[in-house]
Amino acid sequence: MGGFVAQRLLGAALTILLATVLVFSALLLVSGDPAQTILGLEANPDALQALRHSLGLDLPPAQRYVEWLGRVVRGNLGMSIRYGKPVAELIAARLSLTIPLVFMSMALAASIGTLLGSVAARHGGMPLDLAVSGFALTGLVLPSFWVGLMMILFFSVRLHALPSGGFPGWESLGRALLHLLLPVLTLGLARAALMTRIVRGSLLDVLHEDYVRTARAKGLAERHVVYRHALRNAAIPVVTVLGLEFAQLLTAAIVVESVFALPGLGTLVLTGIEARDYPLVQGIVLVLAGMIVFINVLTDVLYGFLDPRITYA
Amino acid sequence: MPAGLRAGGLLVVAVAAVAVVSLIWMPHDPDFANFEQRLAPPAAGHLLGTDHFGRDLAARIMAGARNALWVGMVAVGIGLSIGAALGIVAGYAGGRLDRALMTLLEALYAFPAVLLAMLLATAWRPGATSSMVAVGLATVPIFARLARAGVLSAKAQPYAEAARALGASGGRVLFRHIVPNILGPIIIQASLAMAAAVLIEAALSYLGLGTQPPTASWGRMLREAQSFMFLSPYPGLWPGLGIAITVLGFNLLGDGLRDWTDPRRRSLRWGP
Repeated sequence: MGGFVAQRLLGAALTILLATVLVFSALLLVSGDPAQTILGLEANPDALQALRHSLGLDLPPAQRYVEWLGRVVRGNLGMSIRYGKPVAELIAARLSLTIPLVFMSMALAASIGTLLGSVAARHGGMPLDLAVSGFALTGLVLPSFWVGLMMILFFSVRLHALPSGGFPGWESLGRALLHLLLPVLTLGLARAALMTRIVRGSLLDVLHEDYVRTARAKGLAERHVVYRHALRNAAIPVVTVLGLEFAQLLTAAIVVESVFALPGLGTLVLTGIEARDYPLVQGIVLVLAGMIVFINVLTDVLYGFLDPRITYA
Repeated sequence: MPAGLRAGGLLVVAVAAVAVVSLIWMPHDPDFANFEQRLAPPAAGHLLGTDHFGRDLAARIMAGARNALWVGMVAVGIGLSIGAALGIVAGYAGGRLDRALMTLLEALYAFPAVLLAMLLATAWRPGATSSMVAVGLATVPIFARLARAGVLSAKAQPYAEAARALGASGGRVLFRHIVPNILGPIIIQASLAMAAAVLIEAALSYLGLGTQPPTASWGRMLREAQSFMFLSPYPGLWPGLGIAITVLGFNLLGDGLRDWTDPRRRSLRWGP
């Protein structure tokens, strides 16, 4: 197990290294002079030279990459052109909103998915199953940002019950959660749809296993069979999917933040793109990719703990 | 033919028909602004109503269908051709080349389409091209894994061995015997990838990172509708339905084809 974890960590480090190459090369795709693009055609030559120097554009790309990587490893993602502040500082401030948003949505998706998925599997092929499956399919095909808009239309405009957007900060927890309610519902319901499908499918597979037949044969209540015996074994594919879902949820959060005007990483990156703030965009993309890799490793390790039969050679 | 497959096929054909018809006929010019008829509800002159510039929503939805399918097809085309080629090479060559390619693709896997689109939109300019390339690149690892797995299993089959024993060259075995046998899952994945591509393109256009105005795109229409949602729900309603119908169609088609071609799945179940 220890060897496996080490191996996975090594693989993850390699992935992150390749990710830095990809993020760095994006700047090489800029046609023309990035400094000119940022400052405009009428920029003063001294300012251009200074920006070129601070972006490292006066060095050959390979050397620039090595220097950039050296700084990134020490947690220095450079200075934002738009804000004039360290990129790492800007990202850290916004993560305090994006991370809770993503994890609350994930928790909601996992609970709804487990509940509806197991109900559907217990009633396989019956009207209740069809209803749940219909919900799951609807959630899968509706764009999350559209669902968000419709929620604003209904809960904020029609009922005046919930705020339509913005975020007051974490000082008042109650108000903060109230503002996050619609965004979390929007994100969570969309991802719950997929979880429902996975839990249902995985449970249906497990319910044909011998140990389930044994549990039924000894006269256990059906509820007991499903929740005590089957669900635990069905959890393995679910955990894997939860790990993969993280990447989807993270990118969906960027879109949903924009719908609800939440000052998280998503809105920060959009400002960065508009201002052609390369260090900011590169920093955010790198942090997001790093988070995805980290969660994937975590999922793999968890997988091994959940199912002792899995041995890693 | 299972009901899901039939329904999916019908929806896809319907959306494609709308897109094709939009090339030769639309009820109005989708870009023609008529400020006297802003945010009009559906009526005889404008079947789906008008938007905040008084543009005909029916025409814009038709033009949007064309845009969605075009962007989706190009993106999936990029992902499928690069991904399948890399996967086939990796699976057939094996050894170090296989390991190197798969490590590279693993790294690409850490970049969902939206992240790639952000990088490309900053480097180039946000637009249909950057979003198509981003969505395409993001699907490369999926097609590569599928193709590689197919080649690995087909390579060991007796028919491949027989062809080799008869003296067929490596290229002949690969393209005449192995590739035709792994096409099925790739085509199914293409349908599912199309659904994802339409959804992601809409999200990117909504964020302003995809198709740029004045070209009608469903995502962009939703962004513009957001500010006027309080005055008229229609500009925000139809593009959402358009996206949902297209995504549903390609999903049902892909799932249906998979169930239909996989005898183990021919049962009441419609999902994984």
